Amino acid sequence: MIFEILTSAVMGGVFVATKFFESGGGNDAKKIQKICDNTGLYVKENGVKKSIRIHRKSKIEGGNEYVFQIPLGLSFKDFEVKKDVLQDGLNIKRFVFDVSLDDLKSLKLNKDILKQIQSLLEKKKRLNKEIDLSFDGMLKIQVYDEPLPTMFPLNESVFNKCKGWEVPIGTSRSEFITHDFEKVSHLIVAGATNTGKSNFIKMMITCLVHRKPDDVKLTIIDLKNGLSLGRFKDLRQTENFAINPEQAKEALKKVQEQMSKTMDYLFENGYEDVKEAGFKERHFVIIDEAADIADDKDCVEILEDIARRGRASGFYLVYATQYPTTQTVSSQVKRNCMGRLCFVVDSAIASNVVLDQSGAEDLPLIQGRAIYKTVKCKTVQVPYADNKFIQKTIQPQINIRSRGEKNEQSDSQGAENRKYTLILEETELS
Amino acid sequence: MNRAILKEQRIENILLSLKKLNYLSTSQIMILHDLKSKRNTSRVLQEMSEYLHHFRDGENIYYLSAKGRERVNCKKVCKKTPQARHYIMRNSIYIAFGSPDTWRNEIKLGVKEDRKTHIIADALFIKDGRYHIVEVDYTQKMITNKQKIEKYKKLIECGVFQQKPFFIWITTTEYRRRELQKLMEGLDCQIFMVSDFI
Repeated sequence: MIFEILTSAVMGGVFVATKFFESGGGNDAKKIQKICDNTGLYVKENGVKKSIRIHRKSKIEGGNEYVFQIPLGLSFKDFEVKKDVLQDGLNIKRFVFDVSLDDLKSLKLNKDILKQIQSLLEKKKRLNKEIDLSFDGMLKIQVYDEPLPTMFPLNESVFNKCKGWEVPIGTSRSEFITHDFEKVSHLIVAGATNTGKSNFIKMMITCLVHRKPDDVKLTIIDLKNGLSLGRFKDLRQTENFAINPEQAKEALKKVQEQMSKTMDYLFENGYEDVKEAGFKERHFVIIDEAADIADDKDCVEILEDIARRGRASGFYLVYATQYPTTQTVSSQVKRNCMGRLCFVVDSAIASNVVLDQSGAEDLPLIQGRAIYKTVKCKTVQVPYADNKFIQKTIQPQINIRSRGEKNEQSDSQGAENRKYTLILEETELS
Repeated sequence: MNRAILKEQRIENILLSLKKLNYLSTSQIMILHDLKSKRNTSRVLQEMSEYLHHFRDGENIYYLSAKGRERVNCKKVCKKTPQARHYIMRNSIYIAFGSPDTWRNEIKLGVKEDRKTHIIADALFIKDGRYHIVEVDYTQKMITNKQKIEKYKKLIECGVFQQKPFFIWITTTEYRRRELQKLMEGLDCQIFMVSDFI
């Protein structure tokens, strides 16, 4: 009797399981294989169908990695094109139990075991997997159970993960990504409006000021009329602050002079760069909405100079603009800015302009979602810095300089507070 | 003998003021050189006519001839031009402020670091340690005046002046005077009209 019940239970179980797996449930590797077969990602050799073969499956943080052998005659590109087919295939809505081994372990063998099992069965989930494809002789498909977080709040612990002159770029699915200005000294930040450029810059400045209050020097040029970066105007680290093209030119000229001095010093003492000389100070030239000064020849020349010679002398350029075409970024500057951070743009062409490859146009319209590229591209969620946190962090660094209206009394202080000297020249008409 | 020297001196002085101010009307020369009456002035100028040219614009407007330029070593060549009125207007200011020693015409002001702030004032002099800037508005477009004033404001913002400069305008009509008054809001200025000096 017991035997009969057991065997029928086992057979029933087997039947259900086959049904379950047939429909592609449970095992993503099999599912991927099926999707590839259905979308024509296979070759026929002497009438024999050859499709991808699973080679290895391993657990990674937040998901699984499947490694497939590609049959001869297919390329990685064929798979890359079908990325959305694969991803949506893995997410086709179905009844999925969200039961893990831990849940089973937590079952207590007592009277209401049935109730516990029932409540477990009620745990269902929406599938929302995301995949990454890469190729190193094998096709690697990383399947992540959870999508990238849409919000990555900034707090001090994020800053503490950085070393040296690193600033947080954001979190990818697998790791926390930083940008190291010592390795890649210039950065271009691009993306459509309201996608997170200015927020990234605010976060970056906050991080630098918080981590290196005594070593960092800032030149902030905010051509949004100072709206977004105005809060950093009174920092003791801020050496130059400009909100319009004229002021920007002044500021850049000062920076160039400083840079030349540093260069001369390094040369005289036979150092190769500031790292070798042991300089602790680094000067960041941060330009938001940089397109506004792109048609000013003098400004562009100085920028090119900084981009070319800045690394050795410790002057780092961060260049933010909506769309870095040749009209808005001189090609000299662009080629010298290896680091790229690209938020959502509207087309593959625009993405090509920023990253030299497409991809940024497919980013979801989530603020702070970006592609970070030094050598390889990584999709990241940039930390969101709310203004309260920024204010709290930079408050100790603000010194109140009287930059307000000059009244009669301050005028009579004489020449000390004058920045410029008046020149009077005779003209030919005099 | 003494009188002859004094006479030569007077001729020289008139030529020097013409060198400085380019064009002068009879009445202006009369006031500047204290020649007492129009008739006397005309006589004096007649005597030194080899050094002068003149044309009429209501009254005689004098300027240096080649010989006159030679005598006082003046390099600038003046010609008969309707532009002379501009000079005559400016001279009225020169006379009204008592011929300041520090008076200089057509002076370029600016900040070395920024070419965009460069601006040429019609005249400039220092009085009580304060720069006085003279601007003549004669057949000038209002928009040009506006741009000029903007530039001055920028210069002042740069903090190049220890004390805000004082502006003196001279213009032709009551309407233009009011317009300028509006534009000069926030700056110390005095606006004259040509009719004030006739």
